Amino acid sequence: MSETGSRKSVIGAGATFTGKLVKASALDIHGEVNADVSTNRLHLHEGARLAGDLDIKLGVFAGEYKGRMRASSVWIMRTARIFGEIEYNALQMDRGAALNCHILHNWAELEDAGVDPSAITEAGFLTDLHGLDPSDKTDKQASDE
Amino acid sequence: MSDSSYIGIDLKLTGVFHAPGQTVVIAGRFEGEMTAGSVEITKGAVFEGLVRATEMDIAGRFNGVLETDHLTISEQAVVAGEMVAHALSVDAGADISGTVRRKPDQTSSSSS
Repeated sequence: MSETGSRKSVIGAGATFTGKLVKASALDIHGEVNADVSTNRLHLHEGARLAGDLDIKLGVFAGEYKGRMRASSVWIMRTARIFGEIEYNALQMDRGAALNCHILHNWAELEDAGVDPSAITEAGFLTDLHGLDPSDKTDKQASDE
Repeated sequence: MSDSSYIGIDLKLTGVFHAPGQTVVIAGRFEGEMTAGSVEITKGAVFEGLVRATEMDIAGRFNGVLETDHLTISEQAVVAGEMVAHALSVDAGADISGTVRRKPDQTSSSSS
C-alpha cells in the first residue's frame, strides 16, 4: 500500500492526461498534459509537455508549454519552450530558453497585495523557487551553468 | 525522472489518462477513463469511470467498469459496477455490489 500523506501530485513520464485538473497544491509533470491547471506550485520537467491555461503561484518550466499563463513567480529554464502568453509578477529566464509568446508584467496584483514591486530581488525569488522542489538538483545545477 | 504517476489527496482529475505499463496511484479523485500497467486506489480515494490495467488494488471507492488481470480489493474498499478480472482477491469486510466476470484468457482476448 502506498503512503499518501501530503505527497505532491505527479504525472509520470510517458503518461498522457487530457481533461480538467483542479485543486492541486503542488504538481510535477514529466509526461504530457492537455488541461487547464490551477495550482500553487508547478514544475514542468524537461521533456514534458503542457497545453492549457495556467493559474499558478510558483512555476518552474524546463519543458514545453503552450497556453495562457498567469503566475506570481516564474522560472524558465534553458530547456524550456514557451508559446502563448505569460502574465507574471516575478520572472527569471535562463540562457537557452525559447520564448515565442506575449509577456505582461502584472504590477497591479502586487500593489493590491501591499508588496512593493521594486523590492522583489533575484535572491528572494530564487529562494522561493528552490523551495519548490529541493529534490530536483539536476535542473537547478544545469540552470546555474 | 518519474515514470509513475501519483494523484494526490488534494487533486481532482476529470478526463482521459493513459499511462501504458506504468504505475498510477490515486489518493485523490479521478473521473473518466484510465489505462495503465498498475492502478492503486488508496483508502479515501475515489475513482468513477472506466479503467483497464494489468493489476489493480482497491482500498478506496470505485464506481464504474474495470478490466484487469489481477484485482485485489481490501477490506475498506467500496466497489460498485462491473468487474472483469483474471484473478480476484477480496478481503473480508469489503463492500462489493455489481457484477464480476472472469477475464478470458489472453490468447483469446488479444484482439481487444
